Amino acid sequence: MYDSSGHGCVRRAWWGRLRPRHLLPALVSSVAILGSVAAWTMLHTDRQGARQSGLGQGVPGFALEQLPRRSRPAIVAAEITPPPAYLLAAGIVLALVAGGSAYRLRQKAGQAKALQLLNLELERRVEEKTDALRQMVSELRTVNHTIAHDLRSPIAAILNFAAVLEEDYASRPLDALAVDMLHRIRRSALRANALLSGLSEVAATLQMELTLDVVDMSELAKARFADALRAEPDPKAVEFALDEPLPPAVGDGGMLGRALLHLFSNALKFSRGCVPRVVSVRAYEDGDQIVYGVSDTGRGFDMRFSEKVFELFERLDAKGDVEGTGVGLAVVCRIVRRHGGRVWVESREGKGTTVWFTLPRRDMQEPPG
Amino acid sequence: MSESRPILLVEDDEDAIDIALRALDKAGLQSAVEVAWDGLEALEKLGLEPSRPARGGVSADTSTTARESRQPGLPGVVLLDLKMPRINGWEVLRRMREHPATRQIPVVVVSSSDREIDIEESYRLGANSFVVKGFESSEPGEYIAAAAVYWVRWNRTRQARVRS
Repeated sequence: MYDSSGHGCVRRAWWGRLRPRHLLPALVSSVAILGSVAAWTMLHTDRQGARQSGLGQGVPGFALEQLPRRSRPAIVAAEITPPPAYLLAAGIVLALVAGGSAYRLRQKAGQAKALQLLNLELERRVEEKTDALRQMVSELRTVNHTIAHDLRSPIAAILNFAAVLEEDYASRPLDALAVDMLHRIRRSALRANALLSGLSEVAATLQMELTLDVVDMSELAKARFADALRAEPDPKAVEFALDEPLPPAVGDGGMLGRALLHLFSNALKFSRGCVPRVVSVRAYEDGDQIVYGVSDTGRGFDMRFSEKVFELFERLDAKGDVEGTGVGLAVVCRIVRRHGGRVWVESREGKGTTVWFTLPRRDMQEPPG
Repeated sequence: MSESRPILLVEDDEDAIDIALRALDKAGLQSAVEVAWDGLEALEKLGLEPSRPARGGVSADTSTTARESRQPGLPGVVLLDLKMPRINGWEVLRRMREHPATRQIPVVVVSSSDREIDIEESYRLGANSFVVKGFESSEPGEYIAAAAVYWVRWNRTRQARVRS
């Protein structure tokens, strides 16, 4: 058993660990000692009695009268004579030694068990660290891939259009076409910048320490939706449906808020121009998990590509109709995974998308407000 | 000569497309250039994926390039980007090499990545060439024009011979 602080097995006082069977050797040796003491006593008594009386016991060939008178009281004395002190002492010592060694054995077994538990615990921790490392390596690979494929494109565009401008407009004034190229240069620089911000947000998500707390998801959803709506050009067209009250979550409020913000701004982005335009949040409890869902009535996507949406810098819309870098769901996914939950998505083209995520139910001391 | 057949440019980045089109234009090839905005569109144009009616909103305006895709005349060369939305370049390459009709169409992978693993995987899947989207040269898109000229004008494939 592991205690919550992860310090191996729980320690108890030695008497707490004593069991009836541990006393068995002591009991056996005590019985043996007492038995031998009794036997010695009987033998002793018998010899004396045999010598002195024999009559009362019906031992043939002996008569009390044959014995000298003065030795008679000795019979009584012999009958109650305790075994010599050294025998008793030896018995007690033997009993103690037997009991003690049994206890030592038991203790050793306990230690071996504790060691085994410690080993298991160590193995578990190594496994955990290895998993974390593996995850890190895969994240690094993603970052590497991203730098190779995504970050270079806008830089290439900047350099290419600058070269075209240099070549074509060396000796003539800038016209509309040139201004368009300048605009594209600026746009590409902004995109490179957005990609870098995305990359650092993902890195921050992976590095940040989780501070667990009871989080009022209804309040958090309302606040983050208001934030998301601020970037919306036409906020009046959006309906927000919150299935109150949402079950409270145990998690890092800041991180969960960030995940919700990404989900809301995605929902807003991909429902632009759709009527009706509803963003809804609901939740239900499923065993030891709480499942939260953020839905929109937007354009949706082909479920064949549902795995790709969670990958960093992956986007499903060709031609970039919708602004964005493909960071949002990648961040959501990492935040939820760090909380021990999972994320998946359900979508129908032209109908809308729901992103579901689970958070494990945990016990926190304070009752959820 | 396969200049009679179109060049299929598969690229999701608008700026990269414009640079490539400009360079191809400058190279003076006879070939028409078709653009597929991602792997799925490329597969549709190659007849490896049923072409779907333009959906409301999202891809309605891709119909400019979709009109040719109804009866796909197979391209003389495919200039293929790797990282694209929905279906990436490798998947397109794999599907092309699986199908007899597209098995021998030259594919030039044009990627911004110069990583060993990307180059290796591309050749493993059957790419004929791998070109890194360079931007150090003073002539934008030079690499893509040079690759297209070679594969369209000078290279001979069995299919091209049968056709001509």
